[in-house]
Amino acid sequence: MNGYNNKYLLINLNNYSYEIHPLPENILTNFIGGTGLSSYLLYKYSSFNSDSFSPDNPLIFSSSLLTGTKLTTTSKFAITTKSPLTNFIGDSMSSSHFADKLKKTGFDALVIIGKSKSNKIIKIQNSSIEFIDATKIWGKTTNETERILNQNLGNDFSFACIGPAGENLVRFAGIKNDSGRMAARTGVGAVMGSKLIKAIAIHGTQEINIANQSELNVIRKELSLKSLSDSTEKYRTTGTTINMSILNRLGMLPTNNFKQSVFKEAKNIEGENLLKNHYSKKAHCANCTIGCEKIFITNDDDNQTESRLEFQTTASLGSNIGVSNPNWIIRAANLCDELGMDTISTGVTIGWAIEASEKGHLNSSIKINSENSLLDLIKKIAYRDSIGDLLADGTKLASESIGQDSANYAMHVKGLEIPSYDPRNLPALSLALSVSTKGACHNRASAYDIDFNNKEIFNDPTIIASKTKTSEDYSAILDSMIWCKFLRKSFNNFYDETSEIYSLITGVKYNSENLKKVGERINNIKKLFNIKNGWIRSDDNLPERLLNSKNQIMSHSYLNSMIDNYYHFRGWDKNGNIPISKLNELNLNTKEYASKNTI
Amino acid sequence: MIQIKIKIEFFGRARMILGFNSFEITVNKAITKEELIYLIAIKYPKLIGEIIEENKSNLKKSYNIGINGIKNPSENELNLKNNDCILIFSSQAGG
Repeated sequence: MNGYNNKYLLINLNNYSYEIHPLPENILTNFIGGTGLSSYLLYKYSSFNSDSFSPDNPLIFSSSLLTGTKLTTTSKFAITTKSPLTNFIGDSMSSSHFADKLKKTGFDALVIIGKSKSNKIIKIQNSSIEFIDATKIWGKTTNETERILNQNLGNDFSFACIGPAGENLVRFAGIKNDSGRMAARTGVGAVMGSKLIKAIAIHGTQEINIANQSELNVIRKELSLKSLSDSTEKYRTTGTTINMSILNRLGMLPTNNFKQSVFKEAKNIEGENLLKNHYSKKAHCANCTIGCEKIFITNDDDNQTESRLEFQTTASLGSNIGVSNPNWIIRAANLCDELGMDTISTGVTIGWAIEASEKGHLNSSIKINSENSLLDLIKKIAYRDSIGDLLADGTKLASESIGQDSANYAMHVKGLEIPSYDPRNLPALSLALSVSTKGACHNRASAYDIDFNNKEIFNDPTIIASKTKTSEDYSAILDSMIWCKFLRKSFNNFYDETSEIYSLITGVKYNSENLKKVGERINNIKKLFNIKNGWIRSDDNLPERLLNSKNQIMSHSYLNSMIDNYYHFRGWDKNGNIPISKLNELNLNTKEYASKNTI
Repeated sequence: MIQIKIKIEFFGRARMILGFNSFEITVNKAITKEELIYLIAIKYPKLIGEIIEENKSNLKKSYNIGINGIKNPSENELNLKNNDCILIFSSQAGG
């Protein structure tokens, strides 16, 4: 099929062997690529109900149909595995040259199973696979690892690596690539560490066939122009850190472990202040015309530290833990990147620990009253040192470990820490966070868009549920094609334009309805994976703290009403299980699935 | 004509261009969205072409207007009350 390599690489670390497997056309049309294709492969290779750190747990890297086409924002890849935070499906995405080189190796995906006997680097150069000793770089930070690998293997290679956090199985460790990008969420780096793989070095030279290159070139130029229009203005000019001031004004800024929704000291760390006093430069992913990435620099010492900051990082490591000093946040974010940890989960877990300490539920005293206290705690988590050992397991397991009522203020869904949009008065986001197969992720439905643009429907659980389901399926297409979400408003008609591009690349006639069905199928296979791993309805929930405050829309009954409606629109039963008829409708009940999927 | 006092609050780039966060203004209670944006454009022409369209009557597509953080009026009628706060912020969520 044009646009693809039509095969994937299966690596078995138990015996350092590999196999090349074909990807049939029906699989590619049914799941496209990115999170869709990797969810299919995860389902195919999973043994279910095994531990996420078991050698059985596959770790999957997937490029996409659009990767390598040079369409703007499409140098992206997805990583999927069973998450050590949730024990359900976990996926995370990243961007830049690693994605393009992965596709150019001649494989659409890389499936890693088993466990290495010693620390290794997987080196992939087209169809040549090597397992290189990683003893000398084990223990190194992410940037140091990439620097050494670059010195040893050369500029032709791109690298995805873990830091000390991944090595130490911190359950929210990420996988870093291209010296600044990270697939941060759901603990994919911890799974890589559990397999004793420090890095993957990739270099490929193979080009893919495009069915209609000349027409695609026309669209590529048009899309690049559109990406520079008003539809991306915020991302291009200020970046996302400016979200803080408006969210604080609206009372939607998680503060002090979500105890409050307004941070009195937010002014210091709002994007407007950061851009005025700490802005260093702008950066781009490969093949991106938007350039949302803003690099900030400390201004209180001679050793100027730089770090990319997004709103999520400034809020999780800022307001959510009561920190209002931008220099602390820049250095803390930089440290998380170096150690290879998700800043959202790090911040939310620290927020929980501060409160648990205040309430006397923890034996240790946790106070973030100086920069050193913050940086020391981050290091303790990455190295599982003293109290860090407990916190490295994330808020769900940590709260279960210490008991008392600490689960009520453990701010996670299914084990994944909640990002920095306070959902108490955002009903679509509340629903999306609670039903998301990967736990509390703001990106797999982008449901805050519904809330911010449709306030007149806030009290209608039926419309909220319908729109959230539609938005989830739409996001599944964005994440499978893969388009950057910051491009989404540059389309006049997303489905029509995307299906046209699909047809130009593959030569296979495709339409909007096909695409919508793929989005639905992808969300159903993810759900199927979770059901096979013990999911029950009560897993679709929000922390107690978000459901029992005064002066808010969200409540137990309202959330349940939205979930009932959501299951209805999904065609699931009242317990959230998938009927065989729905599997048939989505072509998920073929012989391959039927033996497993008697739900 | 009933006159009311309202507060205009700026966020993101609008705030950075102007260098301040908000100002108060007395307006006709029946003022429409287009009329209000025109007033702001005349008072702060630096916003024209950046936050406000060249016609001075509409915000650019990338900006939203909100009343007290509770509703985003899609219609031209604002139905303002005394002491209402008008928020001008980016319409682009995400991050």
